[in-house]
Amino acid sequence: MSKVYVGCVVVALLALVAVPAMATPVTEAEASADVSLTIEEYCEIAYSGTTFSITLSGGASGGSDNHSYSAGANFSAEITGSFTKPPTPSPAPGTWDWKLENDTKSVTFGPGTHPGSVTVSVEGVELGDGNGEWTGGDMTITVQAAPT
Amino acid sequence: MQKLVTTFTAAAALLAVWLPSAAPQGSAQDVASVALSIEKYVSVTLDHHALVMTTVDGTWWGVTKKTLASTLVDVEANTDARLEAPLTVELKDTVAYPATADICIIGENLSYGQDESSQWVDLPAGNHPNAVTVQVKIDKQWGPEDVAGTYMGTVTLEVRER
Repeated sequence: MSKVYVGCVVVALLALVAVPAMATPVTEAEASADVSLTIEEYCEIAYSGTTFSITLSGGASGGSDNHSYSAGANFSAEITGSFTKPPTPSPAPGTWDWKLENDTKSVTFGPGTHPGSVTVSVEGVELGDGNGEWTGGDMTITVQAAPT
Repeated sequence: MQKLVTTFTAAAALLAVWLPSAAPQGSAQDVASVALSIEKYVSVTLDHHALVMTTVDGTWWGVTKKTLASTLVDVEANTDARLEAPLTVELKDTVAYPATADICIIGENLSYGQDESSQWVDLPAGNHPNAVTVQVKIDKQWGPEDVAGTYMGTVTLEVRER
């Protein structure tokens, strides 16, 4: 008899506790999701002209040509270059060099756009080198991730 | 005497067995009321817990293009409900992304009366699996200001009794 009584009391207490909890209306709910945007690295670079042309006249021993370029990158970037002097019909005479707008061979910038210039020069041409036209050289500028 | 006690005891035992099944002397009733109370309930679940947008290649620069991601949404409600989303979500890497992503809710079922993008959609009481699509969208001209990286944010949808 006492077990029955205790059982009834326990059930009653559980009901008193449980009923208010179940009776709460749920009139609002929310759910969330993460949103991510991944922007991949992108860069571009281009000369405003296509040909470096140096003409030595009047017995000059050197000269230069300059072209501007425009670069852009959405990361921290470095501009460098490589140069090949005109090889045709024979390696061009003189001492050749190139430089960027800051008188060095590399420039860092970005993220963003960067206008600059490249100068190609030759010096030390002697009269004994003769005259003629040498072609086929190239000046390449490259934009890439800046070294960290 | 002993026999009398034994007989009385046996009679009492028989009476105890017989009484519960004995026919009542007349009848009696009692009535207790029965009630069911269903409280209001609303719930919203997103199929995807991550909305991922990725730019693809360099042709994006100087070009206006959309990048977007979406997820289906399940809504359960035993009352008329309204599902709402914020207008935009801010994205952040180490720095904040310069543009916000637009958010819109697109009703999948025209019977909901919602055939255009919106920040909310009304749903009648019921179970609505995949009822709507939530879309996160960036529609802009891409350029160097869109710095490479991964930007994170959170979109939270709310459903409430209407």
